[in-house]
Amino acid sequence: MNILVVDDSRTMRDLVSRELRNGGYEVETAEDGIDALGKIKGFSPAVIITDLNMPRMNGLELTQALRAQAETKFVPIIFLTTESGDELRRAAREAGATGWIVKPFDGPKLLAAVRRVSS
Amino acid sequence: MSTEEFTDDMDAIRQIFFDECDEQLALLEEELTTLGEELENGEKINTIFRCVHSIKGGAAAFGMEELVKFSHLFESVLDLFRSGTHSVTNDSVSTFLKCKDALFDIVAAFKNGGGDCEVAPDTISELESYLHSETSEPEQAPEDAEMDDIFGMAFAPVKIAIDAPIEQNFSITLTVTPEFYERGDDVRNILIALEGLGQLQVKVDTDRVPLIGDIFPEQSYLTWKLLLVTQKSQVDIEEIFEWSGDDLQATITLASENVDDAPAPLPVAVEEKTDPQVRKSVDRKDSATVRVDIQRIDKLVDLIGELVINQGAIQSQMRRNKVHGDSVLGNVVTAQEQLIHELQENVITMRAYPIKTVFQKLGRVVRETARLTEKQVRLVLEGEDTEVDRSILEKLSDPLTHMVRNAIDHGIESPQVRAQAGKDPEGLLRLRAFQRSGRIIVEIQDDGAGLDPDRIYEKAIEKKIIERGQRLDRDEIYSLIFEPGFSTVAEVTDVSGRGVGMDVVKQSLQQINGRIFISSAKGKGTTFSISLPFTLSVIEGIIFKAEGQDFVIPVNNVLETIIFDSRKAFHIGEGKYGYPYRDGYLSVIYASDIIGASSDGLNQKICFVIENENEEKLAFIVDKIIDHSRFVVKNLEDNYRKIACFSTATILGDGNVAFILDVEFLFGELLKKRESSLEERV
Repeated sequence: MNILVVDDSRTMRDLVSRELRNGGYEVETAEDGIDALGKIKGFSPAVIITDLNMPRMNGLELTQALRAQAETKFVPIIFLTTESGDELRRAAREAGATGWIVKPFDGPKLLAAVRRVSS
Repeated sequence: MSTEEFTDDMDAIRQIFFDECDEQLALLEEELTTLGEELENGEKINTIFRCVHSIKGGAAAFGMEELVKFSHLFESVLDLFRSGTHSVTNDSVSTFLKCKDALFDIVAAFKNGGGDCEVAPDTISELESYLHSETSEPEQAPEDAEMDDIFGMAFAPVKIAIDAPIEQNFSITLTVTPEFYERGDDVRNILIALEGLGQLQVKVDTDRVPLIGDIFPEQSYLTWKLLLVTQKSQVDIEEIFEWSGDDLQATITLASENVDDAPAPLPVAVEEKTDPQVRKSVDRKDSATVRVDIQRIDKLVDLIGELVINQGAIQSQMRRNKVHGDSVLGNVVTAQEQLIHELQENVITMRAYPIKTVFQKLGRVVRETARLTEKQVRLVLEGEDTEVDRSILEKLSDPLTHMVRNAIDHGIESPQVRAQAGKDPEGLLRLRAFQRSGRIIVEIQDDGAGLDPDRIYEKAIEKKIIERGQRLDRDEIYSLIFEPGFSTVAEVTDVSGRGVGMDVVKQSLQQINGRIFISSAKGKGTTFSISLPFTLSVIEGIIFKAEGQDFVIPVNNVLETIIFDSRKAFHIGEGKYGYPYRDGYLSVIYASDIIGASSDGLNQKICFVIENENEEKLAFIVDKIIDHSRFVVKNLEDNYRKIACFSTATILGDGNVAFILDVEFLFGELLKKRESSLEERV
């Protein structure tokens, strides 16, 4: 199963990818929303994991863009972020986010979340 | 599939983190030095915030506590600038630069292995002064919670002080909005997540589904009613729903598991009132088995049978009154049919026993037979927990005993012969039971000499079962061993030669609607596979009409249904007919002959191509097909008297009794006819 990981931090990209690949998933990474949109085609992720705060195009804008496209309209999107404010969560939900994980990065929690949306 | 080279090694990722910190700190410095020179600082503050945020995220992942704490504090202050609560001044820029230096020092300290790096107290107090001067917002609370979370000291949901985990029954009702699906989620995901907490039972309530014309395809009309038996708390359940926000409505109630315990669903608080010891003993009692007189369960099976019949009556009445299946009534009746079906299946499983009870008895048979025949046999049992209806299990014991004896006596060679053939002197006998497409399969497998087709063929000629020159394929030769009077061993042995042949085995299996198959390889062994129905109390059948009466034929005997053209039937003797089918011909039996009515058969338009266990086929001609359904089998002998071609009957939806055709009897009749016509010719 293919998963796209979108995060501007290479550390996070590597950590998350490592965990997912150990969990048996195929992983592609993108540095921000615009990069992610470019990588959707040809990779067809089953789940997208994105950071909220990113340069150029942030997670919320990315989510809105993905929900507007037919091929990603129903792809589960999980936010992986340090933000935990209710307002941001609501904004993410309204944009079309499926789930929300608060960093710090926790491998089992991440895999559980991926399973939760992709089973 | 990747643009970056992934690093698997944690140390390497750590190194990447430090490299990234350096990049972020350099960017931070660059942005900070140009801060304040422009009126529009918004994007710069954002970038600065992101740098610190990024460092914090990585630091948390590597457990760099000091770095997380400080970057979190810095970030909180930056957030106030980002949101416009504070505006950038020269003072604040200088504080930020100090912070950047502090971050640099902490990162360097971690990079060099040591983690104990103190940030200058005045830098911290400068930062905190921004937080305190910011008066109104009580926004700290969630942030603190998050901090706790980072180091796994999260404030736990109200813990209930009970030592042993206790199973509770939660009843949960779920509904979702269309938005729920639009966010890429699925109720299935939720159900799977809940299943991870304990035992889950799911019912779907279709009450809200409107008539087809009123269905709006994107609307969600279903209500899920769940029963979750779990040791987890309500908080754990709520956590699963948390993501979905208002798009998912869930009501969770704690169902009381004991009637005396609590009359109404009570919140979790009820826990504390109950003595844990008492609760535990109740649980143990719940999980234990209850001994019930088998007759009571039989009675239940009967009653559900009546319910099925009643249901049939309702449905036939509805058809008569032309009530549409999609109407509200139609839906309710369909739902009820499903419920009754489930009820029936559940009660029938109550009557099921693990096949273990029979297998265990066979262990003794194996030892005894091996001793008598001076062979070494190792018995392997598989799938002992496979459950079979009691009525079938009772009739399975004798044939299996006989087959096991046969396998050891005729199949497995003596230790000397085995050793000469390069085999383990100890023979292997494997008994295996499993379910396949709704039937129970029991296999008896030995690693003995295997069946010898040539020897069987010769023996069959000797016993006048076949004539020399008769062409038979391998399977047909194998099945000769089921013919009455066949035995491959010259001398009658103590063990298997007790006047009971494989023909009796086959017959007794047929009585319980079983089929038997042989596969064998010379020198390698033989496998007998017995295929059995799960129960004898329900069959799937076709109702047909003949001579104005309704009858049922079990669907598993019907190979094909074709239109009968009486002009194609040809006379082959007194009252005997043949009918072309595929490349050959079938013997014809008219339903009217069996029933005893003296019709000319002109009404008869439908031909069932019937096949029996021996793969013999015949054409059975009836008037018309009425319906296809599941029928509750009633024993005629118990209720009425024995009738030759119908040993069982069922009650139809209209309350009439319909006989269930005994297919083996048809073939028996046919055989008699054949023999008599042969005699006539002679």
